[in-house]
Formats: sequence, structure tokens, C-alpha cells
Amino acid sequence: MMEKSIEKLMDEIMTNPGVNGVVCTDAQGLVVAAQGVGRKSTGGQMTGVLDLARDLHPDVKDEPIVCIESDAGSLLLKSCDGITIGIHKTNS
Amino acid sequence: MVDGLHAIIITDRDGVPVLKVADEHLPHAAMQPRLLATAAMAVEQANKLGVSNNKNIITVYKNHQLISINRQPLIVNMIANANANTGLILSLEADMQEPLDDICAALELH
Amino acid sequence: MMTQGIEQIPDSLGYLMLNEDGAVIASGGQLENGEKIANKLMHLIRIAIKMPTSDERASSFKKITVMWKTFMYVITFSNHRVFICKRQTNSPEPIAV
Repeated sequence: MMEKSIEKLMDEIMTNPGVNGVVCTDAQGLVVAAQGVGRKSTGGQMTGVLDLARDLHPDVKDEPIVCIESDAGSLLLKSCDGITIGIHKTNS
Repeated sequence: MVDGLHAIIITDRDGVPVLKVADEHLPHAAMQPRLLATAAMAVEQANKLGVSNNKNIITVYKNHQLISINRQPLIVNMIANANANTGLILSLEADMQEPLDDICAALELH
Repeated sequence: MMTQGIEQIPDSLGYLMLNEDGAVIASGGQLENGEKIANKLMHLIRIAIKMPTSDERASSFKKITVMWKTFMYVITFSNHRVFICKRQTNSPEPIAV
């Protein structure tokens, strides 16, 4: 059941312009579901980066968003309720 | 490097330690040769299940987790807190490629 | 001290310039003498830099942004240096380079 709704949501994200990959990981950094470029992704690094970002300012209540950009594309990361979502975008 | 990671122990296929790094938080049981020998045996048995060679085994206990990465002829065992980032620990293997190759080469000489 | 104009960025709350090992070369504003935050950021950068952003393997230039509602850290690399700027989020105009 849960996988179905996650996959539906990911299909929806994939239809956005410029998006060429989505990854979803749990709090342990293990990939729950992935599509497109996201299939190659290492979920542990995604969760790891967000854990460290949160640790920069533990007093700030809202969740940080991390964006990693290179000349080829970018990766946007955010977690919510223990689930981390990574969205890969092309640079066009 | 990874929060909650306490030890990395590289063993041969029988579970005999070749290289070991650990901090002071490591549980005593983890230092017993029995754990590593059993982990090595688990990898060996998993190889025989008819679904190609085993890549890694993640064993989670109440307070700790043991991650055994099969990298023939070596096994890389990593012991961490149960809530540590399993995915990040698994990705450490890529960083260890070079030293692991060196150890393999050294072992083959003997 | 050569900070290459990092202290002139509009809406800046503070800046850090680190070498490749994470040692602070220059700092200012809220991040003045921010050794502790520099260490934390360096830890984050070391993981983030290895992450694939696209299909292509070699994508040398990277920029990392860590965003909260009211402020953000913008991190970039040049000439074996790490440049970190803490900025206020509500800035209507982009940085003129």
C-alpha cells in the first residue's frame, strides 16, 4: 500500500519540467524507491548530508533544504517525517 | 566520518582479523572472534543460495548493527549504533577500494 | 588578506574562507572565528561533494546551498579554497558578479 502511494507521488514529481530523477530514503539511509537518475543514487549520503545540515543549527525549528549543483545538474534534498526525498534536475 | 560508527574490522574469509580500527564505545561482544567468524560463515553460506554471490549482510540488533561487506577474499565488517546511517556506512566501501586492493595484493604474495 | 570580495556580498550575515583541509583562512560577520561551524560544514561538504548530481560522471564545478526559512549557507569552491557565505533569504535581487 505505502509503496503504491510513494510511487504515485514520484511519478507525479517526474512529470515536472527539468526533473530527471527522484530518490526516497528512510532514516537509515536506505533507498525506499527511486526513479530515473535517482536509481544510481546512494541514499546514505543524502540522509547523511541532511542530518549534518540539521546539526548546524539544532535550535532552528524548520527543516533545512540542501541543494547541490554542478555544471551538469542539481540535486535537491529535503526530509520530512524521517523520509528523505532527493530530486535530480537537469541544468536547462 | 560517520556518526555512530564504532569499528571497521577487515577479516579474511574465515573471520580472522587482518586490520582493525575501533573507538572506545565498542561493545565487548564485538571483539570476540566468535562474532567475526560467524559473520564470515554467514557470507559464505549466503554465497551458496543460488542467487549469485552475496554483496553485503546487514544484521541489526537491539543497540548495534553489523554490516558485513563481501569483497573476496576479504570481508569488511563494520559495527555501528543500531540507529546509525546504514546507507552511508555502505557507501564507505567505495572510499576503501584502494587500501582494500593493497591488502589483497599483500595477501596474495604470501 | 585576499578574500576575493566575499565580504561584499549583499545580505551577507557572515562569511568563511577555508583551505582544503578545512582550516579557517578568513572569516567575518556572524561566522567570525567560526571554527566549530567550519568543522561541521566541512564534514557536510566532504559527503556532498561526492554525490552524483546527474548521469555524467565528471561534473567538476559544484555549489552547495543549505537553506532554512530565514537564512542560508552558500558554499562554493575556487583555487583550492572553500568559500562559505551565510545570507539572509529574503533578498529580491541576485548577486552581481
